[in-house]
Amino acid sequence: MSGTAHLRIDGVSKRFRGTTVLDGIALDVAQGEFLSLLGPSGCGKTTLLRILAGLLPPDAGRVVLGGADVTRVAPHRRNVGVVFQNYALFPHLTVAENVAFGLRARGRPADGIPARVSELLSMVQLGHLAGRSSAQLSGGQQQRVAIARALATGPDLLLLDEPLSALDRKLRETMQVELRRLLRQLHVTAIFVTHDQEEALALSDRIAVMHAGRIEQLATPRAIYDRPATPFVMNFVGQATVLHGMMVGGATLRTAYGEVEVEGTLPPGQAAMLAIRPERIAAGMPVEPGRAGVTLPLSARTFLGSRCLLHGTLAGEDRVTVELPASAAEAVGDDVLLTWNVSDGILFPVAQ
Amino acid sequence: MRSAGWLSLPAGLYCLAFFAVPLALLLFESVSGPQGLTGAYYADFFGSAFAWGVLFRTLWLALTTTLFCLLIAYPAAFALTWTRGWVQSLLVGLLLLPLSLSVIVKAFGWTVLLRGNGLINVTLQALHLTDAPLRLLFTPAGLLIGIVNIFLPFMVLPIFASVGQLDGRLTDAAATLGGRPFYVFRRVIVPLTWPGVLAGMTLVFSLSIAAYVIPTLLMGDAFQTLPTTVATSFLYLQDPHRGAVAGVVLLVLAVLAVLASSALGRRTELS
Repeated sequence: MSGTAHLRIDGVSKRFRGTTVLDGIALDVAQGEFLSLLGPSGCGKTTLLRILAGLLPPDAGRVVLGGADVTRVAPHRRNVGVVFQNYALFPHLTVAENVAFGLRARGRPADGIPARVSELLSMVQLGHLAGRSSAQLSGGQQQRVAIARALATGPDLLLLDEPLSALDRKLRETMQVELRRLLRQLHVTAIFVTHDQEEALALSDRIAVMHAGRIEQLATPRAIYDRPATPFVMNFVGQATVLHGMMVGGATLRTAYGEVEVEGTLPPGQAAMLAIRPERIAAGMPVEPGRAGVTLPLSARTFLGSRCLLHGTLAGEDRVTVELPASAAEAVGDDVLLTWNVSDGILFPVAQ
Repeated sequence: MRSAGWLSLPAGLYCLAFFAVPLALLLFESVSGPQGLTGAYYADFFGSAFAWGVLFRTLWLALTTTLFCLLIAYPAAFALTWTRGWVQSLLVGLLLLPLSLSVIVKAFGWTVLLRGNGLINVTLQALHLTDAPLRLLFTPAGLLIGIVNIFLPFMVLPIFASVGQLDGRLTDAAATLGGRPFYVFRRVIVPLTWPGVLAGMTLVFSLSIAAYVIPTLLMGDAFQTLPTTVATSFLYLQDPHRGAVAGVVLLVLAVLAVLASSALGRRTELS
């Protein structure tokens, strides 16, 4: 899909004082897509965002936006909106002046600015605070002003740097829904940087999971969760029961807790790791055709309301996490036969 | 807060006894004639061309000093902010060190540097930039060089403090919003460092409007400003009324400067 990409990131690398922060990042983003860069702190996601905004030059590679190479274009000559982590509202300006800043800086006709500002403020439901000093706003209000300010000039690309991380949980969930609705409605291409996997899963069309300056996997939220490409992605996104072992025959893994059937093409004698998502596991059911099973000790529970998480302590790097309806979890004892669809098992080879 | 009121009592008494009372005496001196209260001394003062010359020189010196200090200190404060570690400590130290030296010593130092066979002229001639010694001492240029140097720390330090508080993300945000570098400077950097600029300007203006030693040593008695007029009136001319009038005028100017500065500060807070 080379011709259709709205944003193309082509082999972008960056080093700081001998440390490689970005290592040949390549990524295509379609018009109107909402893409998340997900990864732990230090994975390079914020550096990539700054390169896209033009605030940092890459050492190698190209950034192509709307067909034009903008790699060396200064930030004020790109039409890229940024919502910064702590919003970076201008403290000496009112809410309306903050939103108008980009319009004025780009020399839009002065008589059209007030109408555009009030349109944007009503879009983020802050019309009544237009005259307020930006220093007097709550966190959620500042966030909305920052979004309105970034959208004011109709950017070709909107970059959001952990914009929700400073909000409390309840407000964060409300803002997630609102942000998604707003960006869909405006059909803005957006790149969202976050270390919060739930946020990325909830908001994104696609997620790029980043680790140590590389993209580990680029896929839809569903595929990232169900079919993680690497152990890092599997561990970083969601929870799992993990069993290490050795392949015996083409489709059987010998673990410390018994042999289990797996899907995959690893050769016999290959060390491997099997992961199963907690909600794909059933407890206390017999092993049927097409299903695999193993008996594991469960010693702790985390009550989540309608659901319940059961945990156990296993040897080495093995671990067990099972998610059951709260009512079903009541009946589960200590050593339980756990079963799952063989196709739900995710198998990774492990270096010996 | 009654306790807070009591705590300020020593300071209040001190100011009353050693500041307010002498000022009141000065004010009284400027209006008390042989037949009771009179405005004659003010009329005499403002009626003389000499006094207007004094006023003009005083304001010219204060305003030019403030302007040159600002032009030098504003970029210097950014340079100081961008340095790190021991380099920054060294530079701040160099800036603060001269403050521990008496202004008389510094002004004398400048007379040595500025005179015909002083270091500046010797260097200029050695570099063949000038053929004969420039006349610097007892000229306005020499005075400005000296006074700007001596009062510069009072401009740099408050601006340095406000530049240090400037959030780099704000300038990044302004750039991504389409602000050209000069636009960002004018609309973001200047307004946010304005409190430091205002504080520095108020300090340097107040210091240079009241400067006595520096103009006396670098320009001599021919260059009369309000402070030197106060001194010569009392010390040499034995004319306490004229001295008192000059003193009151100086006080009014200084108070006006402080009021203007706080009004400007309030206006930026509101806007």
